[in-house]
Amino acid sequence: MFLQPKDKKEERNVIVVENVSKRFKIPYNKKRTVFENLKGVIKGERYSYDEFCALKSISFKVKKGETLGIIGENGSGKSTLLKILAGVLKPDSGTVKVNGKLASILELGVGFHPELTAIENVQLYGAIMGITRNKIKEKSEAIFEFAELDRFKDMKLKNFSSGMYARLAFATAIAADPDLFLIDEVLAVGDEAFQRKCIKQIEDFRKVNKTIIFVSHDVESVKKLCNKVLLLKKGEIIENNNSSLVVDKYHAMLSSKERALKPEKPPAKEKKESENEQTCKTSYKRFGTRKAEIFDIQFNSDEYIANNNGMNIIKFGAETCIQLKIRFNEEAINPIVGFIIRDIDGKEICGTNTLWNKISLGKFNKNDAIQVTFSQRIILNNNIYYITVALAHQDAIQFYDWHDNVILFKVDNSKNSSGVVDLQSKIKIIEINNMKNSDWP
Amino acid sequence: MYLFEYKELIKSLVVSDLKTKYSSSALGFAWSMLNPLLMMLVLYFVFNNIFKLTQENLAMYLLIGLTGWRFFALGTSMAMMSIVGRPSLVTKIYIPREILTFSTVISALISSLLEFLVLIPLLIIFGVNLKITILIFPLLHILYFLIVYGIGLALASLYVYYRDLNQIWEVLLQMGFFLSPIVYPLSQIPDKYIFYYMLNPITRIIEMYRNVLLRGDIPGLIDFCVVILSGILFLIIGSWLFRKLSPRFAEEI
Repeated sequence: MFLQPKDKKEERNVIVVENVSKRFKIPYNKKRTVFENLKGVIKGERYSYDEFCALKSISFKVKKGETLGIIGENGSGKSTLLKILAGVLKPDSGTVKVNGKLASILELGVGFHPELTAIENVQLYGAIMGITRNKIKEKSEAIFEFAELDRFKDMKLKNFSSGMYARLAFATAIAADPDLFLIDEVLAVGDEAFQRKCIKQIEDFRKVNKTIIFVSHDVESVKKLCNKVLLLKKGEIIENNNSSLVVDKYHAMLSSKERALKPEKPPAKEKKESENEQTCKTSYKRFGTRKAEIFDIQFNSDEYIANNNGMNIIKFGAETCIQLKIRFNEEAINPIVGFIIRDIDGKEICGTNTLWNKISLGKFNKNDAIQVTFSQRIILNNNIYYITVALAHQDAIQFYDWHDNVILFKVDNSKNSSGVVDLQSKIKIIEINNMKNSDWP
Repeated sequence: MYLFEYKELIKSLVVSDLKTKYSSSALGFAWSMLNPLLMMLVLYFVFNNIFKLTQENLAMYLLIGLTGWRFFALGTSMAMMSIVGRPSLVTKIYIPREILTFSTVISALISSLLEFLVLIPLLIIFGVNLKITILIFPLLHILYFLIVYGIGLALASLYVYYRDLNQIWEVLLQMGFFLSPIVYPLSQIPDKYIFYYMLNPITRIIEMYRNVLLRGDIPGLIDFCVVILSGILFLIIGSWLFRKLSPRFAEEI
């Protein structure tokens, strides 16, 4: 009797992960054949390997009806975690408890066979996802309707386009009707209309209290879909909290990586790290000849809302200034100073510099220092932006000092508006009188 | 037991496997029957005219041996590929991996049964007097299945780790083909080797097929015992190995 409340509580946790660790062994020279193994034994080679720790003692719980997003950089262990939840990989230590029927969509169309027709593939994939044959028959109409492929039921799958393939697979997968979904970046396929349909479907699942775990690089869609987000870094949970908090922290983490104005690292190492980060469009990078240097960068605003974990939050319409302090290590004539604002996808939004504004800075000697301030009103829409600042030789080819994505800020606009900027259009309405019917165009 | 829990999935996998196997060419199933038939014709010509072998009903003797051997050779080779050949079913979703091997061997079994089904009218045409012993045939095939599945499990799991196993297995199959009484009568084996020769369960299985289909007598008790025991033994070894190796399949594949 006394145990009852506890049982109820257990039931509400659909997933309980406790101290899960996973290491991968990376052998120095991988032996994939009997022959190589025999050769190794005869030569007396020892089995030596490197270990890569993909997950370090991860613990978390997911309650029924929650939508949990998992974000993190490449190699942070997101997919490993999802595969462990799906049961594909076994953890080295720790336990994973899953209550309820689970469907994992780590890849769309697992087991699809190109030589079979669409309807046969639906039956096969359905069986793989654990749907009974009768239920698939019942649901096949709904599946084809959702996938918008009714006409192609009896076409062989090999003749399908990749978009059709993805639609068919997603439609079948959701027909499994599980209590718990694991979804790994599968929404990146298909056209926009279908993506919207998928997202709507996921939202519908949320409404009927199904639990969803969602891994994606698309942080904005994670933010939209999930009420909680797990941020992973190098196999550890950095943050497990409300989605907007965690997403902001993630952006701050990306940009603060190797943050500006820190003592310089040895060039060799720096090069290696920047190679690793090539995949990340918005990470901080610094390069240039350093004949002149930007040694201090400030971003100020009159209407600061908050500074959350290194993320500046700025109210829409605020006056901001970017203040750069520059020191010359060599003589320079008319250097160019400028900045660029990019959004989180790395798309350039705007930018300007002293050259375009026809401002000549004049001649500087060694050890001269100046301060350059750009002031502007922020009319950008709700989003996260990165500021890049640069100092260049007057030929605009040679860069003295370039700070890529050095400042991160978020704009908070309480009013709805679409696109990149809000032009704050003034809207005027006048009544037109004395119009006859015949005047209608 | 996963076999019952996942029977729908096994059924779907087998059906789709057979569908793709037989619908990809116009002749489909005919090809899988033509292969042993042509082989039989060649061997019949060689042994009847060149070696002058005096085996009663040599053509059917050869065909039963070849059809029987085919299940072993195809079943084990297909089973070996059952895990590696479907990486997405291993790395992207969880289903008990035994199911992949099991359904592959089942589809090989069904192909083999179809081949034997075609064999029966041929037996009648060639003047074989079919007796009631033919009823033992399904039992034999089930025992044979246990052996093939057991070996298949072992091969499938080892092949994930050792990718030259298929080359090695091909050679071993060649040896097995000549170490079993498929293309020559058992009577050709010298007496001093016969004890070792008979340790091969495939030898006994093929002889038992000939007993029930060709000669119309009931196989000996010892034959049954050896086949049953080896079936169980292979199944235990195969399952043990598979269970031991399968947790890391998704990493190694």
